[in-house]
Formats: sequence, structure tokens, C-alpha cells
Amino acid sequence: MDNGTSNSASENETITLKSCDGIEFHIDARIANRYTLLNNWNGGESACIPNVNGKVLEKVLEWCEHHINDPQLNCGDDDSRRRNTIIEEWDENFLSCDQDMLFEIILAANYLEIKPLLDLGCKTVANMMKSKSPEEIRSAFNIDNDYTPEEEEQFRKENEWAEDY
Amino acid sequence: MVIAIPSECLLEIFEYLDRKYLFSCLLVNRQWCRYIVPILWSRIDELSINKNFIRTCLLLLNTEEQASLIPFNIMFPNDPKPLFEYTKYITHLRIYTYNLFNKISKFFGPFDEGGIDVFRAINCLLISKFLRTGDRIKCIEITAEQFENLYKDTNLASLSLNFYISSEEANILANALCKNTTLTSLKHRRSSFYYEVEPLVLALHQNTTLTCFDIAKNRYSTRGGLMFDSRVEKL
Repeated sequence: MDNGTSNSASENETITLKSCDGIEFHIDARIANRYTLLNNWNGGESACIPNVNGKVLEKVLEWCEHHINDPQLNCGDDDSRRRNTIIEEWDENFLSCDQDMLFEIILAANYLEIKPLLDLGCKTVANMMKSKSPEEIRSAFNIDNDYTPEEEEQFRKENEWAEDY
Repeated sequence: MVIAIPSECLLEIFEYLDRKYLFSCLLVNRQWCRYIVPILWSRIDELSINKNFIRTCLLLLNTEEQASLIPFNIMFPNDPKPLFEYTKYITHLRIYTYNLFNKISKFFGPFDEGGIDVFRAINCLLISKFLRTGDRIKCIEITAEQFENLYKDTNLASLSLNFYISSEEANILANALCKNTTLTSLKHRRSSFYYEVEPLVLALHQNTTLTCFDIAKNRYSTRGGLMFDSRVEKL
């Protein structure tokens, strides 16, 4: 994708994308132009996006549509992009769906290489982890604890220095 | 259906968390721990160095290193060997002597008369431990009396020396600079160059990788100053 100049399609042009469960979406061609992988699957009647179902694709495309006029980030901006966990209100509302949907959106964004949406999803999950104890994180994300109690205690002691950082 | 956090995105997620939050995540399970330890230990600076940090570092010392502290009659924490060789994950290290001194004395209790020697010994041990095991270290800012390990490092790109170095140490540094091919930035500020600078200047001439040499706010003799000038022009 070349930065900033890829929105060459005219405003009214639409293309058709199909989710893996066969649901069709007619989207502004500028969206597909912006994200290479969406464009790749724009191959006519039978083209569908594997691995992403209609429910998730709908959300992903809703996000893309809302952000169609955002400036495109350079890949080199990595450092400034990181660390900043502030999320715009629209995005926050958009991602305040149930947790399964959130993870599915992250997976789809990762798969479709929609970097800003992937970042946003990761940021949202990171914010959900803040100020939680290990046990609270486990129960929030349904994770099993595979440490032995001794091991967990030893890790705690060896890394305790980071706690009051 | 309950979906797990996509593990291919975990690293990305952890990048957004400060250390105190990473500490909680570390204790979640083994998989998370393997991701987080390298992040947690990558940047060590004056804020990371507290009593607990010193404790873990001392536990990381090998038997030989611990034995070298026996003459000082200090008590080691009586704990099992650490679960990771944590210091090997350090990429950026910034330590100031006074800070380290404070934390070490907090750990062992106030030093008596011979305290400064104990501190020196521990300081040297820790710094050389960091340098020896830290093959990912790219940037280091240290105050240490000993840095012979320097030229053995292959990844170190930036070095800041925040202390007065003796002529003997200047020779070690010169020697290191001749052999080192990774260092691109060397800072040695707010110190003095009253020692014989010739070996250092010769080494600087010989070294071709260094592109930044910052000796601002130093005091030096006129001859030493002129010699440095000739190298600085080359940069």
C-alpha cells in the first residue's frame, strides 16, 4: 500500500466482499484500496474472505468505514504508536461489545492486516488488564493457572522489584 | 463458546502495559511469563533498582562470584536459584553509583567503616554480570570502576560513562575501543581528562565505527584538549 495516495477510487464505486459463511457486503472501494488484503479478495462473484464470518466482517467493515478519512500511518511510527493507551470515544463504544467479539475482531484485524484496528483491539485488552491481580486477570480472560504454588511464589519474589515501579 | 486471547497478539498487548501491570500479568501463567520476562527486564534504569532488584541480581551470581564476596562477611539471601537468567534480557542499562550504593546498603543494612569496599566489590560484580550475560545490551550508561568486559560485547552500540576514570581505566577503554566494532556512540561527560589521553586518542583514530563522541562539560589539559580536537574533526 502506498501511503496517502491509494484512495484513487472515486467515491461512488463499490465492491463486493463475501464472508466465509457467504454473507455479502457492498463496500466503498476506497476501503478496499486502503487495506491490501481486503482488496486481494475482491475477485468477483465467488471471492470470499476465509476465516472471517459475517458477524465479525460486518463489525470490521463498520470500523473501516468510520475511519475512512483517517491519515494513514507510516510503518516507521512504531514507537509513537506504542505506549499511548488513549482510545477515542467512538472506538471505545465500538469495541464495548462482548469479549468474544472483541477477540474475534482482533483476530480478523490481524489476519486482514488492518493495523490500526489491531492496535486498537490490543490497546483495549491491555486496558482491561490494568489494575487487576493475577487471579482477576485469569478469571476475566478464562485462563488456567499452570504454576505450582511454589513456582508462582518464586516468580513473585524474583520480579517484585517491578511492582513499585 | 469462550474464545481465548489470541496468543499471536499477546506480545502486542503487553507492549501497552507499564511494568507494575506487567508484574501482575507475569503471574498469570507460564505462557505469559515467557513473554513478559524479556519485556520486564529489557530496560533497567535507576527507577528499577530497588532492594528487591538487588536481591534477585545477587541470587543470579554464580558460586564463584558469590565466593569472591566471602571476605566481606555478608549474608546472602537464602533462596533457590532464580527461574530465569534474567540479566540476559537487558537491552538498556542505566545505573548511577549513588543510587546503587543506596540500594545495596538498604539491602545489607548500613555499611560500617569498610562499607565502601563491600559496595565496590558488589558494584563490580553486578556490572560485569550484566555485561557478561547481557548479550542483548545495546545501550549502557554505567558508573563502574571496571569495564574490561566491554570489548567482548558484540551488540553494544552506545556507552555512557558517568564517572571519573583513572589513567589505568582509560587504557582499558582505549584497548576496548581498538577491538570494538559495534560501538557507535560514546559519551563521557562531566568528568576530567587529566590522565594521559594519548592512548585513548590513538584508539579513537583507529576506531572507525564510532560516529558520536560526546565529551561535553569535561575538564582537560590543553594538550589533551588539542589531541581530542583532531579526532573530533574526523567524525
